[in-house]
Amino acid sequence: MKQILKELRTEINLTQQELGDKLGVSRQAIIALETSKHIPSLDLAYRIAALFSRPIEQIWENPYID
Amino acid sequence: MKTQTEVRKQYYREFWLSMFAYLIVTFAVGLFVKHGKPTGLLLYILAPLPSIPIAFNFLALLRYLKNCDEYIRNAITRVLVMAVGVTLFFTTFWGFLETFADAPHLMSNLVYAVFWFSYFVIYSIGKFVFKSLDTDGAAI
Repeated sequence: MKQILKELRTEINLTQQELGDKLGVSRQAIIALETSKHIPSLDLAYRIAALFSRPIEQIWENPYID
Repeated sequence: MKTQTEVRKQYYREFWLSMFAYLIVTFAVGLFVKHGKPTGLLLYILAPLPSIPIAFNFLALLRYLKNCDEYIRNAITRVLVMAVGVTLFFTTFWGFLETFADAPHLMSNLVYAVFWFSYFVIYSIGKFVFKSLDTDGAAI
């Protein structure tokens, strides 16, 4: 699933560890999210969306919409 | 809210504390049984005491699984399920060897060690061969 998490994080000059601390997740989780190895739960996706003040679908492309 | 670093540190603390307690209790019970020669009910109470720290060890793992983030929980759970499978297979395999081929008896208190050994091997294969399961060593 395509996402722009890394771009959003670097835009506000956060390290993976700092972003992880803000979201209450590990650096490993941020790495997995940025490399699309992990698809977040709805709860985590909403937390990330709230942090970046964007709707979820601006961060993760919906693969079911053409 | 605790950071994941704090959650991991708490788990390591509880894990090693329970392992240390296991060694101490095993050593103390062994010494007492050897020299004190307890019998009957007292022996039945003393003999399984080393298994109690093992229960705390597993409770620490369960607490860690509850408090860690979803990615780590997912990775650890996959390894745990595989390790349980390997342990069940190995103990069943060996049990039938004992039953039908008179293989030497393995003490059942080794099962927990077999389980963690399986966990370690599966985790290492996942991390170093398949380059996945990066949990920063947690739960080992």
